[in-house]
Amino acid sequence: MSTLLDVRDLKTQFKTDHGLVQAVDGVSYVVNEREIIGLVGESGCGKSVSQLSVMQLIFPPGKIAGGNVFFEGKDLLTLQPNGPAMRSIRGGKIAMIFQEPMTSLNPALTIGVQLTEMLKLHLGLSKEESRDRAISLLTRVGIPSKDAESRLSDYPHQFSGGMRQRVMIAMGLSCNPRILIADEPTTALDVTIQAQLLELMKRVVDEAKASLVLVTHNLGIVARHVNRLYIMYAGRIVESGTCKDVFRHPLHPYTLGLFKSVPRLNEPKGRKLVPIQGAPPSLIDLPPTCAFLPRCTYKIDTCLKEPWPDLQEVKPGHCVRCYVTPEERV
Amino acid sequence: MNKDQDHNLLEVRDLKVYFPVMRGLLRKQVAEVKAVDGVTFNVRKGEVLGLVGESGCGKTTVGRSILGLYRPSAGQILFEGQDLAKRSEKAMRETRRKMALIFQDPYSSLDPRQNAGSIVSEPLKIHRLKGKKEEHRDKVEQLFRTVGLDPGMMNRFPHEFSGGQRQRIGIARALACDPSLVICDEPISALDVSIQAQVINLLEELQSRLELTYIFIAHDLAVVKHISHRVAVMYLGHVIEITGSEELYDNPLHPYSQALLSAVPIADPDEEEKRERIILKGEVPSPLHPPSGCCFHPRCFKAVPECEHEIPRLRDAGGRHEVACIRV
Repeated sequence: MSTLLDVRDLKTQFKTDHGLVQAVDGVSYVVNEREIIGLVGESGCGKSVSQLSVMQLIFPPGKIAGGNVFFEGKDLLTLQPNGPAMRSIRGGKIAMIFQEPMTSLNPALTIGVQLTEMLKLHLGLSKEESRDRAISLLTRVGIPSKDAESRLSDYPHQFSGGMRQRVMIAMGLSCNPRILIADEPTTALDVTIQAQLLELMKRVVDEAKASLVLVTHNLGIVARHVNRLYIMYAGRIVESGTCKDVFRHPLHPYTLGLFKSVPRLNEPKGRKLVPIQGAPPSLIDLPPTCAFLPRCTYKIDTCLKEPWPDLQEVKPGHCVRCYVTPEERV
Repeated sequence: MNKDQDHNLLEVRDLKVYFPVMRGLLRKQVAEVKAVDGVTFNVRKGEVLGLVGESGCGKTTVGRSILGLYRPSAGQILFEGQDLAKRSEKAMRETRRKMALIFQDPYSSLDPRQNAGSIVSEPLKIHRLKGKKEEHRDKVEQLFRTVGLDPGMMNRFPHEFSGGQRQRIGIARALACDPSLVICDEPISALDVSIQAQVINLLEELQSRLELTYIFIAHDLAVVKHISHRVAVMYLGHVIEITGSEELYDNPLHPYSQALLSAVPIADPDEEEKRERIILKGEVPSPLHPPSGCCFHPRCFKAVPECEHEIPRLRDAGGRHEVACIRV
């Protein structure tokens, strides 16, 4: 399994009136070929911003302050954000699906125009070719083939939420991407539609021999679908590993806290939920110590004195950013 | 049965709420949206009834009709044994004091220009329960403490609070007039995962300490199972299954309940590997043109031709497990 995308020490900042927001502060991760990875965290932890940074979609007052994004031997961050090289990758080789399909589709253009635009631009197809291709794409994402042709001339508001997200998936796949980044793709949708779409995404990504980056806060979706996951907190990755390792033996106090605070369908009634006390920190002027420290129940003296440790590999493939060892954490 | 009725705080009988669709210059009614179409259930005193279903299934409409915010097209709502529709305006005011609503969005449900203390005490003013100045202040302070907020924050405005704290203000406001029934309409879905548990625990604790009765409306089935004693599953304006919450999760009878439960991913990869997944075809039909017969038949994996004609009634399948399906 070879590495497809290698993100190293990515830093993204936003200048605000209140100070500098370190939205992404030294995030490193890899995406291997034909793999599904999960990026998990609460709102404001930097999971979406890190993905937008990879695509170079950060606009002032935001700024990518450092790091490398290696893709096919090139560092994407050295490319001009609006240059031809970056534009051929964005939407072409790396595609992205957003949470709210209504705001990411142009309400004034038909689905057909929006779908074929990419095909003409990235693949250089003619009008007829791109139209045929758009129809086959819509069929692939489960829009009945008899309707697909007529639906091309429909506007986004004529589609239901689930259907719109199908169109977004079709768009994401249209140029045979190597990586599909899905940022909370099903959060706004009902559970049965959620299940439908995630199965669909998995299938089409597999058929296209692509990799999928699933950005979500839903631990259930992660457990069901991903191979490896990264847990983010306050702009950094606090734990990473295979899905099974992390769920079976969570190492970081934040990961543990998350698992204890959500009710599960399969557990007997009556378990008391253990919430994580306090609230996520503001990302302005974070102290050098661990950002989770004020909410942590396992903290030791080292945590108060030393800066936040780096990610350390505890066992093969399972990394954590914490001074407290599992033995100490009773 | 009689004894049962004594303990029912709320009875909803064959409730129908239709919304007219108006078109044209003369605003002629051209159609009806059957948001709630014949819903029957009881809520006992001190019970938590979960109401689950996908968006547009009518769960919020049921909640709002109980509060008298929508006028039912047909059917009865009995609160403490009395029909709400037959109450005078004045009596309705008194009844409404005993009911409260906790909203979904803690951002839009609090007036940004009112301070927290004034938001919490507003129901007291409306219901003319405002006592002397000191008493009033004590009462508000006590409400703040009840929901785990520092009374010192009374003069702050909503934007100075975090999402979880705002939801606590919303809960304090709901409790201001000592209600017996609280309708929680998606109270935690706008909150972050790590904050949700704080609010769930608070709601649970208040329920048992103040002996409240909840109707807990949510789409997160794991949370509903956690907090509810009984759960009613709704689909397209109908209650299709109602039973104890453990029973529903262990032994769902209606095909829709089965599919809904299997669609919810469990945060446990080992468990996920073993699970059978039922992926439903298609989407929820529009309540403007509901399907004939059983409203679920176009998506049902157990449907037979009769399902297209026969409207299934909710019936007891044994052990107070009620289900509306001819295939069960």
